[in-house]
This record gives sequence, structure tokens and C-alpha cells, in this order.
Amino acid sequence: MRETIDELVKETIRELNEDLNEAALECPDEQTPLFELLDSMAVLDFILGVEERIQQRFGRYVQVADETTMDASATPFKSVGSAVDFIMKKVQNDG
Amino acid sequence: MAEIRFDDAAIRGIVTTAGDRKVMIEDEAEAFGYDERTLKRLKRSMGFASRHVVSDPSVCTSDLCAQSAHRLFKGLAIDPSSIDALLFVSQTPDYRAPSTAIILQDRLGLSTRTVAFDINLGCSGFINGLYTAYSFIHSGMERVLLCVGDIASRFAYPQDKNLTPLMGDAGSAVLIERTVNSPSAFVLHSDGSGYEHLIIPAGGCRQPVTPESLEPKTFEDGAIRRAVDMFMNGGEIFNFTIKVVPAMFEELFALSGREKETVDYFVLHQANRYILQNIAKRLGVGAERLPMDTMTEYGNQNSASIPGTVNARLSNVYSQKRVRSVFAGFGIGLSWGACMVETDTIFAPPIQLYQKGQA
Repeated sequence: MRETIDELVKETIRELNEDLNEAALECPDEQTPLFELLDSMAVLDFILGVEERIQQRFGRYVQVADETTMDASATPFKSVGSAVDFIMKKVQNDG
Repeated sequence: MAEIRFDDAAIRGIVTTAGDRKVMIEDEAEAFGYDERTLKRLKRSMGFASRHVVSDPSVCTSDLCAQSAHRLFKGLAIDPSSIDALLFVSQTPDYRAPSTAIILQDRLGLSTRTVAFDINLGCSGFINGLYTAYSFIHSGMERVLLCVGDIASRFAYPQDKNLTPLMGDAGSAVLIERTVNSPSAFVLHSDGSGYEHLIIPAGGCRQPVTPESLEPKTFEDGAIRRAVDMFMNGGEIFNFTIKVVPAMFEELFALSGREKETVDYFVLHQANRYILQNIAKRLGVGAERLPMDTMTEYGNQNSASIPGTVNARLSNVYSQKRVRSVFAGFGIGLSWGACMVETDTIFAPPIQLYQKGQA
């Protein structure tokens, strides 16, 4: 499961980075910072991309955003690794 | 907790007037510093495409509402002097004082026995205004005119790339009348701890207008604005919306005793595409029952976005049959509310653009 989520998160980041051109996002790994490199519109775009991919892979809608999404101190999207962990829990709990 | 039910009031007509000038996002992109890729992203996630604003800088929200009200009176063959109360919900009144509602009382030909006052609210304003109107009917009145809207393009600084491309101008007029056996339910919430996240800081008594508050400044987020212009912390408003709106629907379903499957249409404040898609997916409701594209064509119409969506997207439905609706608004305050109401073949013509001389 984690491998699948990791793959779809990185796919989404690479697609997003075609527009953003952030050097740090070219080859994302677990430690790559995420939230600090994205403006709020890009965070929304990232979430949209992840939700679409989850729907394609798992056949159901899973809400990835919550009330901490845009909170710099509490966001689960601080790094690629924390984003993958958070999204995996969401997919498991919404199953 | 404000949870209220009525069965003696109903909406008879809804009319909305939008700004006469259509502005395409492509025409504004350069002024906001959007490159082609940013523009593509914003269209996809936020739904930016066009918006309607007033072309004449002297036109006020009350002018749009007055045009709507005249059309409403004519369409329903209503004598304006039969109206008991006039509520004007807006953040863009004609003057700081007196209430614009009182000016409209005279302008629309209402009796001097009319109760008239303003309510200062934005995106939740239609729900709060409708609740107040239903309460007036429940207290013994026969007819209430609810006017809602904003010249939103005027409270956002023209070069504020975070807010201005969202904003559209509109004014609606809604007639509420005494009836029987028309069940409705309202849930209303306020949380002032978040007041700074969506605010016009200067211009009130707390921070009066000074030469400094009229100076444009560039902020950390790259947006340019003055202290007398609206500021929105988009991230906080996003978090707030995601947190409160789904929970509010659960409250409303419990209060009304009706499940979402029994609702014909969910007409929500048209904040942005992502928020509406997110709510629709959580509710398990498709775009055919939860319109999402009013903002894409007209911009965010603030308190007029719910009636604006009825007129822009569902005019035929509301005009031709009995409809059970959930209306929901959420935003500045912070404030949020929803209601479940029933309407039966009401006067709901397609949205009209402002025409000088029609108000």
C-alpha cells in the first residue's frame, strides 16, 4: 500500500513541477520538503492531483484535504514522506 | 446553538442582477503577473474563467438590488406597499450611515410602516438574511423583501492577485411570504476568533482611514493592497471551510429529519471550484444536483451567490416545479449557515445584467 501511495504522490509532484520548475522537486524523495515550496494554489493543485489518482487506482473518492492542510505548523504535507504517511492513513481509514 | 425550524414561511421569488461588464481572466493575467502555466493551474483548481463587474463606478449594490426588486414585483404582480420588512445584506452599503435598507424603502415605494435595516455579512449572508425573514413571518408579518449582494470588485484592491480575480458584482431580491405546511430548517454558526482571516482592516472605528491606510503595499504573499481593502488568508479560509461545512450538513440533516437523498438541489455559496467539488464528493452528489460553475462565469458573488446560482443555473427548475433545496453559505466573520427549504413554482427568471435606468 505504501509503495502505491508513494508512487502516486511522486507522480503528482512531478506533474506539478512541470509548471513550478522547482529544482528540489525534480527527483522527490522522503525527505524532500513540500509545503514550504508550494503556494496555496499549488497545494490545492497537489491535493487535486492526488485525489484524482487515488480515485483512479482505488475506485473511490478519498478526501485528502482537512482543516490542517494549509496550516504551516500542522500541515501533514511538510515533506514528501509525511505526505505519503498521511495519505496512506486517509486511504486506509476511508476504506 | 442556533437550530431552528419553521413551517409558515416560503420563498415566492428570486431575482438576481449581475454586473454588466464581463472580464475574462486572460485579459487580467498580465496585470496579476500570471504566466501561462499559473493561469492554467488557477483555471483548473479555482475555476477562474470570467467574472461580471459593474462598469460604472457610481453604481452601488443597492442599484443592482433595486433592479432585481423591480423585476420581482413586476413578475409576481406585487404591490410594493404590501411589504412589511426590507432586509439589506451587504458589505458594500451606499453610506456608512444610514442603513441602505431604509433608503431602498423609499426608492422601491414601500410603506413607511416597513421595518428596514442592514445586515453586515458576506458569504453566509443569504442564509442569515433568509433566517431573519422567516423569523419575521413567524412573528406575524405577511411579506418580507430580502436584498443581498455586493459590489465585491470594489472592496478588493484591483492589483490584489489573490482576491480580485475571484470577485464578481451582483445584487439579488428575494420575496418571502406567509404560507402553510412549508417545512424549513436552519442551522447558523459564528466564530469571531477567526475574524482576522477575512477582513477590511481600516475604515471602521478600530482603525480609521488615514493617509497611510490608503497607500498600496506589497505583502509577503506577493499581493498588493491597502489597509482599506479586503484581505483574505486563503489557507485559513480553506481550512475553516473543509472543517465546518461537512459537519454543518450533518447537523441540518439531523434537524430536518431528512436525508440527503430527499434533497433535489444543493445550492452552495460559490467559493471556488475545489471547495465545491470537495463538498460534492463528500456528499456523494453530482454536479447535476450541486451546481459548481456560477463562479466560473460570474465570479464569487458573495451573499448573492446562492440566489445567483438559482437564477443562473436552475431558473427552469425552480420556475416549473416543487423543489426541496439545501442552501449553504460560509465565509467572513467567520460565519456559516445552511437551511433546507421547499419552494413551489416560484418566480425565478434567468440572471440579468445591470442596465442603467432599470433600477
